[in-house]
Amino acid sequence: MAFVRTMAQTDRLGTVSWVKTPQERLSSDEEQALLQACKRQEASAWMRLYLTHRGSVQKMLFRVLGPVNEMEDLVQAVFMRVHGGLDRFNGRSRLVTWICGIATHVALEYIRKRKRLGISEDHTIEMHPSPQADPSEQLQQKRVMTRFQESLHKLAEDKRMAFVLHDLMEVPGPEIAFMLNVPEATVRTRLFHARKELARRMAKFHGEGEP
Amino acid sequence: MTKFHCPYVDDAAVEYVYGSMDSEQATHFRAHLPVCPACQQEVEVLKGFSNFCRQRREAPFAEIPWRKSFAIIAPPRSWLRRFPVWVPAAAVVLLLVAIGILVFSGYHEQVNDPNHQARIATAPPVEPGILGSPKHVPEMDSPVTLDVKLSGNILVGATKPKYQADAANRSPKDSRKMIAWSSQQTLEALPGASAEIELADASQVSLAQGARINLLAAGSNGDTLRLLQGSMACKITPRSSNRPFTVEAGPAQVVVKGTKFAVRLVSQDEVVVELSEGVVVVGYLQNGGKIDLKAGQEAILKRDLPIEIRDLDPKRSGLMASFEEKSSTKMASSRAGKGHPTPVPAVSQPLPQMESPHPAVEVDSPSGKDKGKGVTEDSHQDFLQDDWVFQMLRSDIDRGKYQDVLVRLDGYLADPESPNRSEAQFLKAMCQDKAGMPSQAIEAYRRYLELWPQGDRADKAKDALQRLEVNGN
Repeated sequence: MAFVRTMAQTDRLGTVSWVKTPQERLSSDEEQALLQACKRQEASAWMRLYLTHRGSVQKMLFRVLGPVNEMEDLVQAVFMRVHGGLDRFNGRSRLVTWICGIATHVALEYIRKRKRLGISEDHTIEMHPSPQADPSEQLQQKRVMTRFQESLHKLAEDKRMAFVLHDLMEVPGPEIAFMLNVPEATVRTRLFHARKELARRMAKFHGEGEP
Repeated sequence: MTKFHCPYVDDAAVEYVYGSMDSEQATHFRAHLPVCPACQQEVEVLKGFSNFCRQRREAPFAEIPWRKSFAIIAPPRSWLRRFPVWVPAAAVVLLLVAIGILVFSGYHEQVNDPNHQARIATAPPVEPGILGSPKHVPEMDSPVTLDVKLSGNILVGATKPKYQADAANRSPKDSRKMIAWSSQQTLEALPGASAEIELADASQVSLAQGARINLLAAGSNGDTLRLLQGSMACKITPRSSNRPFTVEAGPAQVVVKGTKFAVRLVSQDEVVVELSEGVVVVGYLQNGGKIDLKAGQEAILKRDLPIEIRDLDPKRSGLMASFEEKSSTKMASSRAGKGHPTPVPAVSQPLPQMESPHPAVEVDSPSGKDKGKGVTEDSHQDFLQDDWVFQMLRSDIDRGKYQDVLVRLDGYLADPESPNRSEAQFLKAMCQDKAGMPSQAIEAYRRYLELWPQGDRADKAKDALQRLEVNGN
């Protein structure tokens, strides 16, 4: 696998702008055709696969890990594994589910690696508040989001993953079970405990923050 | 947030807010809520959090701008890449295993091949007329075996004189399991140590230092041993008359049905038998004349002469007592204490008191009990005069057992009281030289010449040293 070219996508002023990921939904037939083309090592098919699912992968990683500096590298790592393991994809799930399943494992490995190295996670949120909010509201929102991210990162990895996939990304429970390779009951249990713990942490935060 | 007590399960609120309850449970919980401040508070918190999460879901995703866009091109895969990673790895592992099996099986066959096995030595040649022993024992038409337990330091050798001794055939110092003693093997108690042999019926045979026996017959018709050299003492469990225990020595034969006795082969023409308990029948092999020997008597059998019977004199040191005197030798405490495996054979416990009515025969292993006790002067002197151990070490060197020899020599040299240190030092240097350890060999030769500049091996040491130094080592 080789990277052919790079492009810069920042605007002229160098500031961040809202970029929406193309959420191209493929029908099952289209997905099958794309899959077969990728297995035949067609470069254009791989390009399309990458561009189609890149946003989902990044979103999932962002939800789980927060704004990490290595985001692009992590996305790249996900697709490198997709490329290496596509022959083993047996079609029991949707392609996006399978790819996001790989992304969850990449995210878990990243979390464990940071723990092993003793690197604390950056909970700073790159906020993009709505232009209508006044500065105080924007600050409050930022505080809430930071606290939420902290609480999320204090969760155990397995609970964190189940919560992010279900409550933040609306991935159905059976697909989460497939991604994480656990029974559905386990997913429900993890989700239950994650919600309970996060709710209490956020409630405590609000209780502390009340004037 | 105040914590109220609620009889409901604490987790009911989570299930209610997130819709995990069935309708009946939800109805009950809704009825419970107005009367429970705790659950009300819990539900309020969870609803707030749930709304927060929904807002997060619906909010525009602040996608990090892609500063780089990667286009992926997959090059044509090589044929190897068509397989999963584990396939070639497994193939390599299987190949290595197959090679290992082939190599090992070939080695195993070589080791087990009787023609390739370690060769068995004859005992050191014994001058006839002293403690003469036949150098050649008539071979059995078909070998027989007898299950025995060996303890002490016994050399297990073959009867065929062409084989050389193999130190590996020496029984372990604490051999407590039955082994099959073959009629093709002699058993010899090494110099400086006695040895015990226990039969399956708990009969016990003790060999004095240097004694050598072999098996002539075993089975339902009885067991027959032949004393080839030295002296032995026996305590035989009573057995039926059609299954006697027989000892042949020189011209004599001792048939035992359950007793304690000792036999000494004075020469090929003279045998002394002492009986402490029971009854034995002694006689000559050739002419068939036999007599019953009673407890407290000894028989002297000389070729072509009548059997002489006399009472054992309790004041005179008999054969049994002499066993104890000669076998009361122990390992050097310094050798054992330093933890080095020593080249000197271990010494067993003294032979049992055969004259007591029912002595408990101790055939303990000498491996652990005798450590820490000093070597007596007698055994030390025996060792001084007998360089057979060094002959055996040289034999091991010729066989390439360098490490084994070096370990034993190091132990020997570590003891300042070891008598033949010069020979041991030279042997160590020679062993290291042959083992391909030139720097160590140079150091050892230099040490020899430093300590024994006029020693017997000084010239050879100088030649070897010069050779090694010239070769640049």
